[in-house]
Amino acid sequence: MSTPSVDEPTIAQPPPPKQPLATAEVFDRDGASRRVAILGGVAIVIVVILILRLWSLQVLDVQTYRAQANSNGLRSIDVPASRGQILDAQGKLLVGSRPSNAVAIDPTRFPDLLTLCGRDVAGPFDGRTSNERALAISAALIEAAKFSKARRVARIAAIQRELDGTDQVRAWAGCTKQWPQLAELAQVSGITVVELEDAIHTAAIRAPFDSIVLAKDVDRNVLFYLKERAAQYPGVRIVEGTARAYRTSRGTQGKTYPLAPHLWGELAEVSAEQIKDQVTYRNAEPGDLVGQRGVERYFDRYLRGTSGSLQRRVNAFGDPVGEIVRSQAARPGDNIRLTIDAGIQSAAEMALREAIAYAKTHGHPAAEGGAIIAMDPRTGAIRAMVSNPGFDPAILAGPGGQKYWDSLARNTNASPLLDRAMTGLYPAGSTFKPVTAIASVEGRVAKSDSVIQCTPDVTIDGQTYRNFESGVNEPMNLVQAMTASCDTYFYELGKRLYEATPKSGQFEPQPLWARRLGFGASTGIDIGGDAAGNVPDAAYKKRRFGDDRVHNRWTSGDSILQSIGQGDLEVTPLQIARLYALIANGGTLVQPHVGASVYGQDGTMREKLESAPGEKVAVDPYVLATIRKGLEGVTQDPDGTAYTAFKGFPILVAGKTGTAEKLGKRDFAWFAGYAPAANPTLVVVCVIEQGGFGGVTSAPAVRQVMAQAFGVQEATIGQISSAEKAGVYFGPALGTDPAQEVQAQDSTRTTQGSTG
Amino acid sequence: MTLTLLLRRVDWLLVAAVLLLLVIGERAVRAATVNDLLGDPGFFDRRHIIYIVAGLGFAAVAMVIDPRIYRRLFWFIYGSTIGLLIIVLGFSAARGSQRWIPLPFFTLQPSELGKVTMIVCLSIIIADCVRRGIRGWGMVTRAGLLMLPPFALVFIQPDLGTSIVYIAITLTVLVVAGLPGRSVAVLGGIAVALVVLVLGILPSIGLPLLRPYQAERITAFLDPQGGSDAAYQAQQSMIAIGSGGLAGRGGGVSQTAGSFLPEHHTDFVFAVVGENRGFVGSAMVVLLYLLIFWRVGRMIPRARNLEESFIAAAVFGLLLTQVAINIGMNLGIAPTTGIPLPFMTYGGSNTITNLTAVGLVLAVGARIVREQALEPGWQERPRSRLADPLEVPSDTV
Repeated sequence: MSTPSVDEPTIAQPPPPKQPLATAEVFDRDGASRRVAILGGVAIVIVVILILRLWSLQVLDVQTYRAQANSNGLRSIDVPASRGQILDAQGKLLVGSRPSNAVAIDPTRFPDLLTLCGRDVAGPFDGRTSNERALAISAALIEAAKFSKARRVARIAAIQRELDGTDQVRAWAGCTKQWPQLAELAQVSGITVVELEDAIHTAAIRAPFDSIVLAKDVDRNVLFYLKERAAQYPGVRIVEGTARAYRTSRGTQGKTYPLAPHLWGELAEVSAEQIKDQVTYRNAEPGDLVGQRGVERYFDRYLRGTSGSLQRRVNAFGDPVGEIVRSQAARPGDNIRLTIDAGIQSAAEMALREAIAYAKTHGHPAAEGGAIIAMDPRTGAIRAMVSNPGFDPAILAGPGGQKYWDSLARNTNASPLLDRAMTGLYPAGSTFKPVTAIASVEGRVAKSDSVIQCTPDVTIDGQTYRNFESGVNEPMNLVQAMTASCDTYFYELGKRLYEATPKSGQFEPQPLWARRLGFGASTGIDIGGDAAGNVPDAAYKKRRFGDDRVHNRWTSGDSILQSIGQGDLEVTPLQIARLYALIANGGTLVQPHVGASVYGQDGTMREKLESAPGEKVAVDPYVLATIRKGLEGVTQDPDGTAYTAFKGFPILVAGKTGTAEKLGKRDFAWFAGYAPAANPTLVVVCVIEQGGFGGVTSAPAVRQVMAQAFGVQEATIGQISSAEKAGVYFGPALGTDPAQEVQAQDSTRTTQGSTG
Repeated sequence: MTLTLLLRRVDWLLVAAVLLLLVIGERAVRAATVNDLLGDPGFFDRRHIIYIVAGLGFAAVAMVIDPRIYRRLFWFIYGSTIGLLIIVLGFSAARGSQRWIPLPFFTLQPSELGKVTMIVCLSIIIADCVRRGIRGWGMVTRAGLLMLPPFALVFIQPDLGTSIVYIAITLTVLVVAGLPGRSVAVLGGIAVALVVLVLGILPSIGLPLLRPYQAERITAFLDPQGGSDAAYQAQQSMIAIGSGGLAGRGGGVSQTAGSFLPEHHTDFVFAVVGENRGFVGSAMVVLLYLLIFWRVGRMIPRARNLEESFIAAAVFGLLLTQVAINIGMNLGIAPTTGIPLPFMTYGGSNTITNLTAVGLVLAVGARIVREQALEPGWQERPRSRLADPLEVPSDTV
């Protein structure tokens, strides 16, 4: 920078008349040049430092910074996959999806919210209790809200680094009191202020700076309202999504009711526990909606699909800017086709409702709960499964779902959430008699053609057991005993089975056979959750009564009560259906299932759902044939307990009535049967709690289901039952209920344990 | 001095460098702010262009006016600057400090204006000192007496960055005026002691002179991972610049356009260039500033009189300080003090101020007397309005 000095006065104003030349002496050019050279040197040094620093940042460390910039500015946005449909055996839609929109707010866009919700605490966060921290953070957020946009972002980023995301929650509480706009938003969204605060609260815990969903599944009008007034509600977003939609069926009175609500199960965000279960919830990721029970749960891996993602450039506020950088389309879930037949299911729903209504108005006012199962005895494919009382899964999937769920769960009287078909535990009553017959023949205490006197009562070990039908006294073989449901015949078998039990208790023919025939254990149904029930045996007695030497032993009373399906025996309707399927198919214990096959969205079959092949149980075919003959008699022989109920039905039905007793309750009405008797393709089981006589209440319901399944034009239950009432009627007259006496005796004995 | 002569003598290299930086800055402001206002990508850019045009107008006027006139206007210039700095304290604070006077279409920042006016006043005072042989502490005292009122008024706004610039201008002029090296060293020592006092000792005994955010800004660059705003900004700025790489990532990328870097069009506009144009672009910007320093620096010993020499020195100090601190803070090696980058940062006051300062040095440069420039007409036409040879009223000194 130093240049050759010019021999000139510094103040170059030639001629300088008034300018004293002295200046030139004071401020010499050489000196000035030298000093300017120093300045120039400083400038050069600074520039070199800056360029070296630039080189270091932009050339040497470019990868580090570029990675940071990308993690800053690229955001992956999940694109949820549409959930697969649930179809019936014919491909009719049972459960589908419908669009559903949620109202959400973005807290970073709510400076006013922050301002109004906070309190006056400041200072560092360290060394404070979580509540103090929460207050401090809220204060910091308020502070941030006062700043310009840019500083607020910086502030929020700093706070975000400061906290682990759990503490500022408390600061949010009570905001709505101070901010009428929020209260208004709650009103618009159709939720209460408390719910809104809860939503903010829980969302703030999970992801403090994410959108907070205030109301799910809001009405279209609400959406329009909010969209029109976007300026009034800054930071309010509409999040588009889907919710489940369910098939309904039209009842006789024109009322619609949901089809098979118990079968589906609810959707909820996958929990940390569930994510570990990589079988049920294969490839589930946090935030995914997964089925919690039933079909939605056990076929979740097919239905869920794979969510896609969009990678977008976003700004510091998370708003998308520019184009999509990378996108991976969501793979929609597969459709699942069930074995359920919508027609049979619908008929079963209606039949059960009508049967219950009929029982209520015909001497059994307490009739309420009940179940029907229709199943293919050859494969275990379930065609219909009904439990009453039910609920509306559409409400459960809607915005008020939690409230509805709570009210259902609180109703312990009717227990509408309980799937009685799979998890209802009942005394089996006479429907259990085939088990006794098989155990007796296989246990070599009787033969298929053994004849036993059917007496009005029998006294064994000092205890008198009465026949349900007191006016009988004739010799019967197994066929006749099955047809007429002679209790004393089976008491005798029970006594013999007890006597065949060795002192060691190791071999108990009856409980053993009950287990072999599928009782006392889960059926392994593919949608899970069925109850095991209870088959009392010596071990059970010991478990239950411990050291009580009087009661802790297997007695003749236990065996005798079990022979007619009473005592502490507990079975599910599904287990009974399986038993009758075994009888119908000649000895195979089928695996009940509802899943049939998986179809892609393009309609091609992806997978056939294999259920375990039935388990062949070694039962003497002759005894099964004998039982089948007896069961045919139930509907065909005028002495049969369901003769009236099936009178005139064009297809030969074989079945068994049951009138089971339970302490403190009116009789439970059972009917289990299959058709066509010669070549059975359908087993139907019906149980109605406190519904009275099985042949009167449940058998007509089964007939109705079979009519639908086999395409028979039929009268209603009321007509069938009325005809029965007017005509020949086997068993006790309605209303007088002579069974009460037996029930009282048996029940007492059951609860006290056999005194025998 | 005729206009044609003036134009012929103008330092066109300096003009070219400044214009190039203006263009680069304008492009960067546009790139950074396209997403700032939804639906109006050009909002900031349009205003910035208006400021640039206004600034070029001011520069042209400053270039045409003979700097010798300023001596007559000394008290007017000094008085009105102090007056505006007092008036601004009466207006409501924005972002925690009182820097702006709202005018129609424009908010005036007197502390920016003061950079130029104080350069003029300081050059006159120091020139007189030199002429009267007042060197050393006598000169420091006079400079101090002149600069203390505006410095104090700016400092209490508070506008730390601008007050630092005032000090830097004063020191540069003092050095050029021949302040002995010993005195410079003592002044440097005092400066260091002041920093320690203000940042360290006074807060610890409960007498903080700086607002907490000011102290935080100054110390934040020492701890870039810290949670403070300033550290966050510096960190984001480094990410932006570093991610630019050698050749840059072009416009529309995230870091600056996506608001991760707040103040992207103001204090951190250099980071926008760094991200979009890479090492090539940002190094070019730095070298353009070096070119400007050279062109301004070479005027200092050549100016036709002491006042003009010191004007050039002061502008040199003004530009060097701002460039060093602003780019330094963009690169994470200098404190975040809110000093704009000359010719590039968005904003009316600083754009106009810095361009006016360029106008001043162009005026000085155009009036350098060189043998080859001594044209016959130079003295023959003293009645030209532009070349009116105002006599230096030495009696006022």
